[in-house]
This record gives sequence, C-alpha cells and structure tokens, in this order.
Amino acid sequence: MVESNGPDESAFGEVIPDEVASSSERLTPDAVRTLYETHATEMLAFLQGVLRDADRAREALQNTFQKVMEAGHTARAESIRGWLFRVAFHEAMALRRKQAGRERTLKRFVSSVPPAIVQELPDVKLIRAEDVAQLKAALTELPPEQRHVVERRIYAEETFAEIAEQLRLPIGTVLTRMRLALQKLQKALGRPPSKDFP
Amino acid sequence: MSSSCEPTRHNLPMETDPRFFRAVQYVLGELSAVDEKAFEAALVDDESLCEMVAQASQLLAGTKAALREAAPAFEIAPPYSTVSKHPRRDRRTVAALAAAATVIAATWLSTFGPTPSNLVSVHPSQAVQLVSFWQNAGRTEVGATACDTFDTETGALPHDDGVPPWMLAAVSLEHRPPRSPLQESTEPWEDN
Repeated sequence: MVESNGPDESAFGEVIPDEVASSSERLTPDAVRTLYETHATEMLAFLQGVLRDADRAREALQNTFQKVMEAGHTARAESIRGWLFRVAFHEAMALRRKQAGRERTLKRFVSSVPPAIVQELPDVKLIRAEDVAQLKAALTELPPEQRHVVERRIYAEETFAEIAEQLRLPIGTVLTRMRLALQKLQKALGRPPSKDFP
Repeated sequence: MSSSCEPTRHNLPMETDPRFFRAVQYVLGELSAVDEKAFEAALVDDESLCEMVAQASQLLAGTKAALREAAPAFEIAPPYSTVSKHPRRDRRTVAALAAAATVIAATWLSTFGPTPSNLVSVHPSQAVQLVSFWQNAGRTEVGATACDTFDTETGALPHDDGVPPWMLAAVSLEHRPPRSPLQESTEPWEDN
C-alpha cells in the first residue's frame, strides 16, 4: 500500500499516505500514484455507474485525479475516500452538463490535457477475470425464473417494464426476481461490503 | 459524509441493504427523473451510497461479461430477439425488399429467361424413347420398342402409336444445338 514512516488509519479502515495527511503543499506524484492505485478502480466503477458510459467514465476519472494533483492536499486524511467520491461525482456532473450542452466540441485543447503525472497513471480494469468466473458459476445456480430476468435485463437490455409485459407478470414480481438474483450474485463475489478493491 | 449510512455499512451486507437495489436501478437508468435527481442529491454527501453505486456498477458489468462468456452466440443473435422493438419498421423493410426482388427477377427473366421458341429442346432419339415409353406403358407384351417402328431418318411416327396428340405436341422433334459448351458436354447423345 504505502511505504511511509507513519501511515494513518482512517475511519474506513484504509491506510492514508502521510503525504496526503500532513502536507500543506501540493501532493507529490508518488502520493497521487498511491491514491490512484488504492482508489481508481472503485472510482471508475462509481463514475461508470453515474455516467453509464465507459469512455466518459475514464475521462472523468482522469479529471478527478487531475483535481487530486491540484487540490488533494486540502482533503483531510481521514476523509480522503469521501473527498474522492465527491470530486468524482462533481466531475461526472460536469461532463454530463458539457455533453448536454454540446460543449465538448468547443472544449479548448489546452484545458483538456491533464498533467503528465495523470497521463502516466496506469489503466485500471473495472472487473477482474476471477470476478467474471465467479459470477458465471453463480449464474448457473440461480433459479431459472431469476436467471431469465437477469439475462433479459442485463444482457438483452430490456427494461423491467418490457420484461414484465412480455412475461405477463406484475412489475413487482420482475423487480423481486432481479433483486433476489443480484443479492446472490453479489454474495457470490465474496467481497466484503467495502474497500476490497485492487 | 453523512452518518445516516453508517449503521448499514457495519451491520448489513451490502447486497441485503434495500438501497443497494436502488443503486442498481440507478445504474441501469431505471429510476424516474424525479427519483434519479433525488438519488443524485443523496450521492453528493453519502459515501456509502457512492460505494453502492460503484458495487452495483461492477456487479452489473461483471454479470454482463459472465453472460456473454456463457453464451457467445448471444453476440450474433441476442436472446429474445424474435420480438422486435420496431415491428412496423421491420414489416416495411421486408415489403421493400420483396418488391425489389420481384423487379430484379422480372427484369432478369425478360432478358435471359426462356422464350416460347426455346422452351423445349429435345434430341429426336430422346423424344423417340419417351414416346416409346408412353406407348409401351399400356401394353402387356414386352416386344418391339418404339425405336423399332420409328423411322429415325424421316422422323415419321408409326400409325398405330396410341399416343394422344396433346402429348406429342409437348415434344418438339426438331433438334437444336446446345446453347453452351457446358450443356454440350453433358448431353449423353453427343458422345457418339
């Protein structure tokens, strides 16, 4: 995680680099890299959930860590994760507004180029191969009616209303099947509810 | 961060938290505009809700990848694709394609298709065999064939042939050369 002399243990049980916790100046590239390695996957997943677009999520992630470079030192060490979520959400909303207003085409190139350190950060994967394998196995254990709803909603991308109409079921039944199925799938991933991101 | 989520974070597994399915619905874009705004307003200062969105996003992406691996054929033909979302558009497309195919076929037939003069092209010996077969079909004794009684030089038919005129009319005894070398090579009577 962090190779520092005295890392702090935050309220969320994560280790915060000393540089982030104590520095009154801008974060060093190493500190940014450490934060990135710790939080980038979770932030990317969050951004993809908000933006529903992989490319824009990655753009927002880059913008988020650009902000970390600029203002990360102002975050309190014990709330760095919450601070990152807030910045990421802000960047996601900014991207969404730009897209809505078709401002992306007017974006000046100079302002869109992140600092070198942000450009050099390694790419992160949203999902791991072992997660997919676990989910694949868990899918086979779902009751057929639950798997059916999962396939239609997630793979065929039908809405819950469309599924309910085609299966001639109340929408509440469809939602319940989906909820139960996702509970089992999430459980199968075997992750604790927080912070177990690579 | 909001403290409202802390009990959930520590006491309940995420998947059993009712807000987790709300996060799933948000990621799927299944919330109404009003609910989505309210959800996003809550995201601003609720770290655990942000975490649920991240988890929901990963779960959905992972499940999609798992489904894709489990059934690669879905890539080509997604399940339940028999029910079109645009049936009217599909019907119009099919009708347009059918009309185009009809026009092309009609044009081709009028240009290259058979004409009344070339509908039948049969070698005399083949015609004779055919007539003979028709003649002998009704006889009990197996004797002379039509070839025995048929003058191949003049092409004259025997008097008592018993073949109805409508059958003969369907067979042209005039020999026409084959239309292509390929046809010629496949005709057995040309081997002699």
